[in-house]
Amino acid sequence: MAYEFARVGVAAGGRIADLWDAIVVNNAKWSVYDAAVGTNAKTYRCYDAPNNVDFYVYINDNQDSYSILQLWEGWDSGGHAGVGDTLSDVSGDPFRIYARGGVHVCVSDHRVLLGVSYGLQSYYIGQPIRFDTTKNMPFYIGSTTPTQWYGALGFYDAAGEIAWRTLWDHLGTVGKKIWPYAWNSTHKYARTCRGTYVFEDTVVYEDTNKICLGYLDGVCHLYTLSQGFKNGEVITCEDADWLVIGGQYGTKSWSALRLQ
Amino acid sequence: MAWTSDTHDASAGKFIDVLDTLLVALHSTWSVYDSGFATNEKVYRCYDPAADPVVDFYLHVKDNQADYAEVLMYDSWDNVGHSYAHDTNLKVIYGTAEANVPYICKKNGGYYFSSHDHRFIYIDKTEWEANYVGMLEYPTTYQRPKTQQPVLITSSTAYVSGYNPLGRVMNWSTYVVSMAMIGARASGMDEVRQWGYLSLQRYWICADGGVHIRPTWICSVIDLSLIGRMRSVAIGHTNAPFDNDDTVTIDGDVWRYVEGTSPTRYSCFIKQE
Repeated sequence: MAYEFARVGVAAGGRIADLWDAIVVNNAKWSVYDAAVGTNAKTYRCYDAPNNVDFYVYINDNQDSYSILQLWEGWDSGGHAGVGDTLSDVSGDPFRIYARGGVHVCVSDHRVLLGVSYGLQSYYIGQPIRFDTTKNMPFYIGSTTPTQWYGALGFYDAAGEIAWRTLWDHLGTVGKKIWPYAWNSTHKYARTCRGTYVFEDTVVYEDTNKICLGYLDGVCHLYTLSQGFKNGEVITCEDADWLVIGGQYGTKSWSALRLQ
Repeated sequence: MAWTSDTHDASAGKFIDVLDTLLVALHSTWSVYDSGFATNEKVYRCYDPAADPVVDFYLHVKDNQADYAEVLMYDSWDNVGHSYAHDTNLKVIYGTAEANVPYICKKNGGYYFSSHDHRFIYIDKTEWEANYVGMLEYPTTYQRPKTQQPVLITSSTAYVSGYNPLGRVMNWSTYVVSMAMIGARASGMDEVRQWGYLSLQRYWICADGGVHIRPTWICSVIDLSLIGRMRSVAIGHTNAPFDNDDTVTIDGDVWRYVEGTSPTRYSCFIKQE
């Protein structure tokens, strides 16, 4: 695992892809797979065969303030195009990672976690800590084309705003909606009476049969319960530092991201 | 710690027998503090000066009737006058209202009992109601309160409802009493609830066919803070595709499923220890 705080520019090019190039691919399970996809665009691969992890992340940085992100089953590096199943949008709303200014970047073998100052957004790209490690189940949790700017990792799949999706679920269904465990509870307390905090990784289940797929690696979903949190504060817990982020909407939707 | 599966009839005194045999006899931290009452009534003390925080609370158990025992919790007891002489309000004597006193159902269909130095769990196998009395756990010192905060989470006067108290931890009408003797603000009679309270979106079954279980944190309603974690209890609320008495084994530990007998199920898993 690795954590870095990075700064990204406003203009097109060299934004989210720079983070991948400078930070993510330092992890041996991640690599640049196709650097010639187009202007300000690249495709990366997360590959860990012994652990049944293999997916491709296409990032198009060719616009201001956000990057378009797509997950793919495969990638043709000769034809510079995705192959097979893809998770690229929800009802035509493409996945957009908004970033300019400060970005918290957390990288593990199988996922990338971002907490960004722009819109106070949060993103999860990659695998959960899977209950069934024979299944390849990369997630995208983040914004699509937001107008309200809810905090993605503290909220749920909301049309036009936020996607909580998996490229495949445990049965191989493409684009299935996923949910955080006890997502609508307003009793997701984190502060102890000692004044310390407890953040536990959140379980995620799929939408149809309510089967739990795994834990979000380093994400505690807290929903809308205000516990005195402030956007962007970093709380030192016994296990790690955690970034608390809630989006920009009037009613915040909070999550805590483990900065490791 | 010990896990017992046994039976008794539903008559007066049977719950006291369980506490005498399976709690006091096995744990030096538990004792009979006052037996100078009429028939089938005792006060037990849980005292552990070596614990951090120090554990010291009293249970007044009234067991002179069939089918249930009344269990009250206090921070002190006068065993000469046989009363709660110094009332600090650090006690648990009812839930939602004064009439909703804590009852533990003890019918004749058998029971499970989990004993520990600082708490016990009694599961009635007729109504399938699980009750938790005593201390929560604190995984690390970092989370541990400065003072003891024992809880009493039991049925109440409508114990025949079949609503499982450990499947819906909250003060709930005549069904459930859920209180801390000392709450987060050091006040008494502090309602406690389960983390994730009221959400029905709580599912157990995993993609590999197994079950994910995590002991449930308990929070103070007034102070909006966590006061500890249930020792060996994971609450699922509803939506559990199991039947009472089912078990799952996780990392060698056997967890037993309890959901009550009511049409609306309130579920939990309890580790057999």
